[in-house]
Amino acid sequence: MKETKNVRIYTPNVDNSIFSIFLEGLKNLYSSHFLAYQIAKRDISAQYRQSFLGLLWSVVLPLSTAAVWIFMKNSNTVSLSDTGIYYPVFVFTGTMAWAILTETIMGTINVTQTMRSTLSKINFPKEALITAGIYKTLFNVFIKLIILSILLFVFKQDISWSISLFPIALFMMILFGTSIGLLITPIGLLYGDVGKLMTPFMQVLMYFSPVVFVLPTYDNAIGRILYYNPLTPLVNNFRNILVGQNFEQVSYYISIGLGSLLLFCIALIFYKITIPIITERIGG
Amino acid sequence: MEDKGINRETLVEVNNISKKFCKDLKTSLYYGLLDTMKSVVPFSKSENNTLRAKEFWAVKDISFTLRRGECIGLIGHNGAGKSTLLKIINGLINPDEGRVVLTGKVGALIELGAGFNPILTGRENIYNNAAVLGFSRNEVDEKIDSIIAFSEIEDFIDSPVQNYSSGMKVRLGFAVAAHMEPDVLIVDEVLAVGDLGFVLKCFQQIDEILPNTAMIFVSHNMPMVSRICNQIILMDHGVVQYQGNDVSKGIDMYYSTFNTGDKNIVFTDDSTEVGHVHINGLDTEQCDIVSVNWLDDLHVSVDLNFKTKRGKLPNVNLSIFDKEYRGVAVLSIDEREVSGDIGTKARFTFSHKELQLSKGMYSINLIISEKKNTSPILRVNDIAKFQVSYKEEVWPPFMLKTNLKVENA
Repeated sequence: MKETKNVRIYTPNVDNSIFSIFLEGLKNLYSSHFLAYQIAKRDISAQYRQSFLGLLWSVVLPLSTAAVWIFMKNSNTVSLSDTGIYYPVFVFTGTMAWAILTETIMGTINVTQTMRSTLSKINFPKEALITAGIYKTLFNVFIKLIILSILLFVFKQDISWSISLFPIALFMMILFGTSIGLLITPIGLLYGDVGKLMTPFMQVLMYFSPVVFVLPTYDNAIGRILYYNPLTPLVNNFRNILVGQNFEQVSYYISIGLGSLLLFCIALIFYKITIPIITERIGG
Repeated sequence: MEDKGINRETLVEVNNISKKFCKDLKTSLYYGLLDTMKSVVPFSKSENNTLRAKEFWAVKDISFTLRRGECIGLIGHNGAGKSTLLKIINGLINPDEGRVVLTGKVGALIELGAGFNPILTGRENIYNNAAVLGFSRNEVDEKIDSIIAFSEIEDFIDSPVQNYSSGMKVRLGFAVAAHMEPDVLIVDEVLAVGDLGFVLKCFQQIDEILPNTAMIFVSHNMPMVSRICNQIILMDHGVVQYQGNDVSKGIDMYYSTFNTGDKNIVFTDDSTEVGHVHINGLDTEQCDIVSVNWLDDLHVSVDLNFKTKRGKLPNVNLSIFDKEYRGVAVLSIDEREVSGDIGTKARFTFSHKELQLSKGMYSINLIISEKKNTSPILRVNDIAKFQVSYKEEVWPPFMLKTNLKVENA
C-alpha cells in the first residue's frame, strides 16, 4: 500500500474537467480489476454452491427458448422463413446473443444492488461494479460456448475461419449493452421502475430483432425500422461469425461499434458524476 | 496525545462543510433526479446554499484540521449528523457547501465485513472484504495468515460465514480492516460488538495505528473518546455545540444534554411517592445542580409520602451512578441505628463524611423495599444529581485521600 501521496478533494460542484473525470474513470477501471474479479467470483461461486444443477442453469433459459421455437416451427404453429442454417443452432446462437445483451444492460445495476449497503459506507472504486458485471457475463458466455460447440458438432454445422473474429463480435455486444446499462444505472438505482420495465421491454424488443427468426424484409416503414434497429446487425453478425456465414450490414455494424465506444465514454462520465448523488439517496 | 516525533503534516482539512437532506423519500428521489440532470449539464452551477421544500441541514458549517498522530472525536446524540459528516469526509457523498482535502490513503472502519457473502467460507470472504477495502491481490496473499491469526478463528476459517456467530463475523471483519495501513482512519461505532477480549484487542490495535494516522473517531463511549482524542466536536442537529482541545469539557456538555432532570420511575406498587430531594440543604428541584467540593460532607434528604399510615420503617437504599450510568457507590447504613414508626410523611436523611468521589457529575437512584433485597415498593432512577468540584480531573470514579511517606531505605 506504499504509493505516492495522493490528495483527494471533495467539493459541492464538480471542479474537474469532463476529460479528467473520464481519465480517472479509465484509470479506476484498470486499477479496480482485483475488486471486480473478486465480486464476480463471489457472486458466481455463491450462486452455484447453493444449487444442484450448478453451471447448467446458465443454459437452461436459452435451451428452453430454443425448444419452444423449435416446437412451434415444427408443428407449423408459426411459419418462419428459411434461416439458412439448422434452426436449433439459429435459435441458440440468437438467444445467446440476446442473453449477453440483457445481462450486460442490467449487469451494473444488479452488481450495485449486491453492494448496496456497502456503497454508502466504504469508498471503493465504483468502476469495479461495471467490470464485475462484464466478468459475470463472460463467465456465462463461456458455459454457453461449450453447449454451442456440442450443438455445432451434433448438427455437423460448418464453421470457418470467421470464428476467430468471435472476440470482436462479443466485444461489440458487451460494449453496446454495458453502455446502455451504464446510462440507465443511476436512474435505475433511484427508481426501481427502471429495472422492472427492462424485462418486458427487452421481451418486446426481442421480436423486433433477429433472435428467433430471420427478420422479414418488408419495403415499408416497419421493414426499415427492423433493418435499422441497431440490434439487427449486432445479433446477426454475432451469429454469422459463429456459424461461418457472411457479414451483414458491414458499415452499419462498424459505425454501431464506434457509436457504442463513444456512448460508453459518455456513460462512464455520467456514472462517475452521478454516483455520489445516488449514494446519498439509496444509502443504507 | 504527545508528539511521537513523526512528521506531523496536515492530513485532513475540512472547511465549512454543509450538507442538506430531504425528509421525504419520494421528494428526495425527485431531487436526486434533478441533481443528476443538473450535474451533467455543463456550466449549470446549481444553487446549493438554499433549502428546497422538505429539506433541512443535516450538517452545517463544520471545519477542522487534523495532523498525523492526532485524533478528533465526534460526539452527539443519534441523528446529530456525525455519520453524514463521516460520509462526506470519506467521499461517499458530496458536500453542498465547503471543501474537504484529504492527503494519503484513507481507511474507514465503518462497516466491518463489507462484501461478505454468507455462503462462502471465511477464507474466501477475507479476499472479498480486503478487495473492497482496497487491498491488492498480493497484499492479501501476503497478509492472509496474519489476518486469520488475528481473527482467532482458525478452526472455522474454511466454514461458510453463515454458520458464524455475529461476534465471529465482526472478528473476521476487523481482522481484515486492522491490516490496512491508512494515513487517515475513519472509525464509526463498530467496535461495540464482540467479546471483551476482542474489544480490548481492537483498541490495542487502534493505539498501535494511531501515531501514524490522523484519526476521526465517532463514538458514544466517552471514556474511549477521552482516552484517544485530543480534539473534540460535539454536534447537535448538524451544528457544532462545542469544538476544541478541551475534550473533557466537550464530554461534560454532551452529558449535560441528557440532564433532563426528570425522575425515572422504574417500578412502583403505588403506595409510595418521592417528594423533594435536598442535597446539602439545597432543594434539587429549585437549583440547577448542587455542587459539592471534594472531601466535603454529603447530606441527601429524601421526602417520602405514603398513601396510608406506614408504621414500620421500609428499607431505603440510595446508590450513586456516574454520568455513564455506571454504579459507582452505594450509601451504606447501619440498620441497627435506625428504628421507630412513621406516619404518612417522612424525611430520610443520609449523611456521608468526606466525599471522595472524583470530579464529575453523579446521579442518585433510589430503591425502597419492605426488607433488604426483597418485596420492592418503589424504584426511581435519577431522583437527583450533584456535581463534585475539584481542580483536578481524573478518570477513575474515586479519588481517595492518601498520605505518602517516603523514607530512605
